[in-house]
Amino acid sequence: MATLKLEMETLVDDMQDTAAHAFNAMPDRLFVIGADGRIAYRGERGPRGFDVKDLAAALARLLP
Amino acid sequence: MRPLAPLLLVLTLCVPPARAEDPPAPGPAPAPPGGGPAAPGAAAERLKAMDADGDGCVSRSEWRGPARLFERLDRNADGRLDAEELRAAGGGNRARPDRGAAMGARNPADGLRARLDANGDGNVTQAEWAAFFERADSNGDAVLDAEEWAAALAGRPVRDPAPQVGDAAPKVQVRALKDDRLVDLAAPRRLTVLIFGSHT
Repeated sequence: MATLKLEMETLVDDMQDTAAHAFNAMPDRLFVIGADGRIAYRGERGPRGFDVKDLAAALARLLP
Repeated sequence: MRPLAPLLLVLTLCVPPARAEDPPAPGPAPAPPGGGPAAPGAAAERLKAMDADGDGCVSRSEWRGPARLFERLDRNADGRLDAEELRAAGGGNRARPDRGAAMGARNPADGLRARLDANGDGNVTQAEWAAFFERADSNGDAVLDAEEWAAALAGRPVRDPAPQVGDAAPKVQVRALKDDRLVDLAAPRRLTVLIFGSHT
């Protein structure tokens, strides 16, 4: 993780993929959770539905 | 310009269940020789006639036919019918082409082939096979259980238990890399981007 030089706070799922299973996100998926704890964006399941451009467009709408 | 609120980034470091290497996603389906189940022009005309917002797809609200037919035609269960799905459905007079192919075929293999043959050209490519598996695998565990297999063969929409937009996020805790504290994704306090997958 140090090599990525991420400045944003970073969280990680456990080795049992608990969060990934809770979000039905296996094997790849993108979500955005709002500050209110509600789903603000839900991508389709990857790899076919893993769409970074769609996420970027959603963030452009969600961010002030 | 207001500064952006900081984002929390979640990465899964775990290797997901081994999957056979997926073939590249198929490109736009070529027009099948002889027109296939429906000439591309007919499908395009049907789509254009119903596509009120001009996004290239027919949504449930734009669909003018029976709801059950929409569900059968929506092969990838994304809530929209694209030109390929309309073309694979067949000509305008065929009300239930998938049902006839999958449920009424004397040879069960023909029914399965109908489900796999996304572009309706009579052949099943490796990419179509992989796309069928991916659509049918509703929980992404790389296994088609009896329920998923039955739903896929019957052309029923694949259930996706993931939370919808507007739903409360699942109450699940993840760890912060910096200080190892637990963070409840149902109460993040900040806009949080979740990136699931083995990307590290």
